Amino acid sequence: MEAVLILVALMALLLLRTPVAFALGGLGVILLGLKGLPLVAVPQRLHGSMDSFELLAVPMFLLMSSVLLKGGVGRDLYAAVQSWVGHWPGGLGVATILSCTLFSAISGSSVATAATIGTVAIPEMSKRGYDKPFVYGMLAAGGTLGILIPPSIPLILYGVITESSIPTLFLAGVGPGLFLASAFIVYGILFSRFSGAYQPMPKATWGERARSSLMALPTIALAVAIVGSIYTGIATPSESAGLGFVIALIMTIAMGRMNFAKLKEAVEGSLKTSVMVLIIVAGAKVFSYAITLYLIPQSISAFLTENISNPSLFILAVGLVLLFMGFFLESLSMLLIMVPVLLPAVLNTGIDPIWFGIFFVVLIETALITPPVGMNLFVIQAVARARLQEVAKGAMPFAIIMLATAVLLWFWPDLALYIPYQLAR
Amino acid sequence: MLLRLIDGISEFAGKLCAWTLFAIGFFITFEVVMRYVFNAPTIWVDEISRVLQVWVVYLAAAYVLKHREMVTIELILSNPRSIWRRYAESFAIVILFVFAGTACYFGFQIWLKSTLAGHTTDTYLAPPKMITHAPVWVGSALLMLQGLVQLYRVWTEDLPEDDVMDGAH
Repeated sequence: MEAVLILVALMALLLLRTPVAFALGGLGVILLGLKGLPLVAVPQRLHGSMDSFELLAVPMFLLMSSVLLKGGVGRDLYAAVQSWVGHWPGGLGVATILSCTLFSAISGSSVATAATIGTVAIPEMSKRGYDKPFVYGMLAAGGTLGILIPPSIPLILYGVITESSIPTLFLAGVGPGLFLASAFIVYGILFSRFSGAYQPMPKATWGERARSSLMALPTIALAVAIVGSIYTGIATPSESAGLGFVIALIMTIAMGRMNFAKLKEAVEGSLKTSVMVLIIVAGAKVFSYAITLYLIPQSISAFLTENISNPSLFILAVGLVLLFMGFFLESLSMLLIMVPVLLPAVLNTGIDPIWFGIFFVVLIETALITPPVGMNLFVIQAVARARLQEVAKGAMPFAIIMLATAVLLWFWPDLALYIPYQLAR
Repeated sequence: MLLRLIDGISEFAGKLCAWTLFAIGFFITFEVVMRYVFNAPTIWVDEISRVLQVWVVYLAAAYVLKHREMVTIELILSNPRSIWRRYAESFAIVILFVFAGTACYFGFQIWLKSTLAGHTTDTYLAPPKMITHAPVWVGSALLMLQGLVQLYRVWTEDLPEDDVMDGAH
């Protein structure tokens, strides 16, 4: 009963537009106060939550992608990929998803991926007569690859909360990320071929391909270096992010695409995003401390394990709860509220926490493109100046593909776990 | 005058924190280069970067609040001209006060005790706790001051439309 009341209070605060960080932190303080527990733990938790080298990966990756964005790499990537596949049936759709996939390897955020590639791809695809809801849906869904293909801000936070290895989580995201990208591409080609709603692009000449690929090459090399350095263990995720930021800066300066005004925008913009994310982590730390003292995760875990002994049913129940919450909550809040609550039950059921992290992120991705609160739907709506209904309609088939991938992950866990446990061994 | 002063402090703190993050990127790169190129890992990068991260997050919270970029669920009460929106935003600032007030009051107590006792951290560099334990209460105090300014604005200025592209980096 206590658990339900706390959840209702939290939902009420969030719906009343209390910033997520203050809703979590404020409710945590109130809960501690109601039980007469020492409030001196609050500043201690707040300090401890940020005193983490692993967490530095969040601002560093944001800084790096911000510098690359200001350097105009989104346009380069799209132009390069388009020159190779643009003439295929539905080729611009293929180019869009491939660009999102490549951009995901340098950005840990779905909003950034959708906004960056969307700004370039939507006008291009609309000009070529592609079905508008399809274009919007594809961009909203393609953007979500940003949080599955490493680096990924949600996976870093998941790793910090559950004390799981972040490099292992990153590697586990690669398989499902590439699988989803391939599924989106196949759907895109089939949709374009059967609807016929597109004008084919002329095939680019080898000279055009060489020129555009050369422009995108440094960014692709940087993406490979980041994933490679984490994969080989040369650098921790935070180190590879810091290094990636400095290389991105040198690269954009060398290409003549960075000046002080752009750098200032990139640095100040990434600070705002970093603090906006990390202050939620801090608030969530206080909240999860309070609910732990109320024994909420333990009682939910006991309830679930007593009533649902079958792991398949457990995952189905968790999946449905997350799907439902995803209609109303944005992705980070969902992760920071639900992971501490569900983790004991996950461990009790014998489910691999790395696998669960990837499963969770796939469901978060689905939440990002399902109304009424679907962050990527809003982003594409804003970028394309479209109607939300059109974006949501176009995103629906992609949401179904994502849900099917979540189901597939259950039956074929190696889709996520093969790379970290077998290949990287 | 007072509002402008608080806005100014938050703005300055935010910009300082932004360039501190920029510097941390270079510290981390320096560490990786020293380790692999010169086989001489540093003893300070990890700890200094962590201390600075704590400062950055808490000191810049007021700056992010000032720019209205805290993550908020914008599902209902979207009409910026509705009186209920003003009530909701005022209520959110009350919750901010509960959270930041607790962090500030108890954070200050811990800091004062450590400072008077001359405590240092039990890490390799052993910096004084006067420096490492100050960001939570200093940042929370600034956050509350900025909260007061925002509360004043809720009732004296037009509220902006929701902007989903905030933070799209």
